[in-house]
Amino acid sequence: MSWINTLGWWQWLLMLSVPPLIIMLYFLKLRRTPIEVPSTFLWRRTIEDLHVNSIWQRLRRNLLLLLQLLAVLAIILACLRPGYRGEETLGARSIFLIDNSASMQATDVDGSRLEEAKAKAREMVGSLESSDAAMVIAFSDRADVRHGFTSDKRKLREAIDAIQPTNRLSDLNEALRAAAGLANPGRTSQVGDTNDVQVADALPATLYILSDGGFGNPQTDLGNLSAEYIPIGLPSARNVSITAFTVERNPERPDRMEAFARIENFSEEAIDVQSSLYLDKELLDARNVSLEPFSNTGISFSINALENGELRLELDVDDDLKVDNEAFAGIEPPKQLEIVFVSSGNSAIEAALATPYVQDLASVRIIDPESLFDPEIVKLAQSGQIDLFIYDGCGPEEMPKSNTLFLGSIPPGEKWQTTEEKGPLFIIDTNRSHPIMQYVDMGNVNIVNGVALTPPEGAAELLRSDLGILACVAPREAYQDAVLGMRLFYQGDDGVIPNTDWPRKRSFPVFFLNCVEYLGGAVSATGTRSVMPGNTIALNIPARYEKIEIEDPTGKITLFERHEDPQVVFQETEELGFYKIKSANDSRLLEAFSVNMFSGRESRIVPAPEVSIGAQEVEAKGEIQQLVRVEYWRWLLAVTLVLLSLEWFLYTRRVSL
Amino acid sequence: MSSTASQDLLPPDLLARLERMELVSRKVFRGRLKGERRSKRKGQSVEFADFRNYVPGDDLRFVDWNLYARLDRLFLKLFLEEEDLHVYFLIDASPSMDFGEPTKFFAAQQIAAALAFVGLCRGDRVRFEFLGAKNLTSPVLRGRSQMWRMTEFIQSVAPTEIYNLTDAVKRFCMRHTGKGIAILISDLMDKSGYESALRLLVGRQMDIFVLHMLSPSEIEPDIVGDLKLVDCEDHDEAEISVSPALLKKYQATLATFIDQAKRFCAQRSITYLLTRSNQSTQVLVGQYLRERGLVR
Repeated sequence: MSWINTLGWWQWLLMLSVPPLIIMLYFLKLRRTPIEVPSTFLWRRTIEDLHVNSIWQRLRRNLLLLLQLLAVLAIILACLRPGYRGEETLGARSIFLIDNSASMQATDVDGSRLEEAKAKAREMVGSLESSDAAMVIAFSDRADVRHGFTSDKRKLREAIDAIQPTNRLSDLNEALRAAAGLANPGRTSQVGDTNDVQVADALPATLYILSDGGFGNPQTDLGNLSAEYIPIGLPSARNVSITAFTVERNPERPDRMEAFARIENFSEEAIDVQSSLYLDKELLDARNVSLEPFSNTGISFSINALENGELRLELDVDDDLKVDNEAFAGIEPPKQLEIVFVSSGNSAIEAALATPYVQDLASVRIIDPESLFDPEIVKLAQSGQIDLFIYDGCGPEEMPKSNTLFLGSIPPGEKWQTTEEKGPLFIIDTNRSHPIMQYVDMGNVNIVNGVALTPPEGAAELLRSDLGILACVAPREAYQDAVLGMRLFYQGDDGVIPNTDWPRKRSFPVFFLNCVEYLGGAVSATGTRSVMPGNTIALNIPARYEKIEIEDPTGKITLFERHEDPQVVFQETEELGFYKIKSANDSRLLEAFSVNMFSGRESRIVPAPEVSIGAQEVEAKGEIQQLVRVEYWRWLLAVTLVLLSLEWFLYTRRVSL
Repeated sequence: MSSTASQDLLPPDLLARLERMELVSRKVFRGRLKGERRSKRKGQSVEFADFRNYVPGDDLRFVDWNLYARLDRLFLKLFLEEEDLHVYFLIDASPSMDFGEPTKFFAAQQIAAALAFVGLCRGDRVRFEFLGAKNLTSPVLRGRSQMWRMTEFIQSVAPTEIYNLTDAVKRFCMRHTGKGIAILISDLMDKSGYESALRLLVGRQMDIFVLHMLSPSEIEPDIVGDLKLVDCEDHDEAEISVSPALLKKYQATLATFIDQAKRFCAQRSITYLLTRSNQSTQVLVGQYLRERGLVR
């Protein structure tokens, strides 16, 4: 305990003269009117009855004096500013970075790690000096400045209390940028915002990172910031998680599907886990998995082919983090494609588009090239309602808002270029890895004439002839254009002259089926897409669906009204589970995707003993200890207030007696 | 002594009423002179009591000759003796009695005079003893003619003497050994207590009446503010801040005091009568004391 004198000598004299003054005043009796009475006998007994116990009476008589003296004493002590060198106080400027990523939902500590982090932060706020300023940032894979620098502890506590857990990953970079932008002079928290004012002075601040450390190695220069890492969680925390889960059609057996999952043990002990696979809440299969410490294993389930549905894999294990014990996958719903085939007559392609497989996938409308100038067709092409345009030896004036396949012609504009037609051509390479070219064997195909294509940037080559690129697919905004640099037939004077024998080969209908599946967007052989929580997903929904709604796992529906946008960008992917995209008009399921927490970093919940930020190594600190003076004068003033209130209360009670 | 003074003390209409009354004692005492009071002793009054056999030496005047004529035996007629009664008035003459409107002392004088007049009219022996540092005692008064002497004596006394009630009663008891009625008129506000004084009187086997005299200001104090109450006798000071709660507490204390006195008296066959100094003597004697059996 130490004291700081805040008064001068004359002020002390004045202050110390107050208690004797009170005592003097107390002993100065009230000027009472004397009245002669026959006897004070009864009055004495009356007063004595009021003061039954003489000791209590004396005490009571002097209680007011005592209280007044105590109040003055408390004020005098407050003037001396008593205090001690506290251990639980922080610097003048503190930034609390509170991790609210998925791993902070671990329950290895009381409540959850986030609750513990919040409690520690509240404790640290409590030990702030009145002149200290602090700031609260919650971070996952993005930073959320909950409160800028303030000395108002109540606001800081409210900001801390309001932090909620998320299913997102940890990434300290953005949080560090926000903190540094506010703490370092000359930096701004919002790059490019000219109105952004510097909110903090050029004063060094201490960064308190309350996290389990699962944020990798952020590459940020701390500048004036000094970092303290307060690990949250126990080293003995155990966790088993699903780090991958997909479902695909069996390429060899179209009636079967395969579900693959990877299960990882992030604990120091071997764990037996039961994994159960559910289809729409109905148990399909289950596996027992034994996992050695810090090991992983893959499991697969073979199930009947599904048209659509939600698959859920669940681990039955009592570990500290539940959020990664579930994973979701699904089968893309079948799509009914709209294809327009523009041709002046091509029986081979018509036959290829009339196969049962293509018929299952799409409805094909055949028009002649003159109809392309028909305003109705132009409008249709620009409406985005058609999934695929196939141009046979012709082309539109303006590219449609859909995927296209050009056969013997190229899209209008400067982006696509061709050479002169030459022949014969020999195919020297086939890109088998591309979905369009899967199962397409071009080795035995003879070609009379063809061109070499010069596609725009980003194009994927499909076929290469001795002349150059014979077929390729190139992106155009949200669409893809495939071009085949040869014709199938020539219209000669004496009828149709074939340019190639490809239509007679087995690969020909396969190529068109692939085109319909890939360019038409009917590639549903694989499962639905999976994104990480909080990540953005771009959905290619045919523009003919003007209103779509997205239903999240909680049943919340987000409505999108589209204005010819080829893509729908959806951001609200906080909840883990299955998201369904439906047509708002007829509630038809258009697409689905799942949100899964497949992150080994997030599932590795054992708190890191140290973290590195840029080049700086920050060791874990259990306690934040800085020697700063903790003062009591506010408490003394509060005591004075209480004493004075008590004195007033007793005085009024006495008068009323 | 002026007649007006006596008139103040005993108004004529009151006197007329008092003449028809008599003092009642629950005990019958032996008197010294023949009075108008029936005695246990057989005597020479006109009231027949009994017969008894004649024995030689008996006064022949009381032989019932008619009976002798019929029965041929001598019987003596016995008559009830009529005796006088000793009535003592013990009046508190301390300064505390000099309060009230009219003063408690005046009220005490008036009651004593009224009751004494009743006694005088009935031939009782009346004596006044004003209790003080030295008790001021009147001569024995007997007969109606003594009324003027009585009033003169009563009015000559002023309540000025500070004394102890027990000591004063002890002095009275030592001086008066005879039995009779003792009527103590006091406010009983002796700080050393009234109990021992009453016990002394009880020990004398007197028929004791206590007239507890209180002024209205004592029963319902009409005071406000922060006061310093000064005792008129010992100048003791009590500082009070008058509040409804305090007045309520005072009333409770007074009620307890009266109740204690009443109980003390009842336990010792003392008749306790509470009177207010502003009560009219006519009502007090004619109604209140009659109801309580002091007079009839």
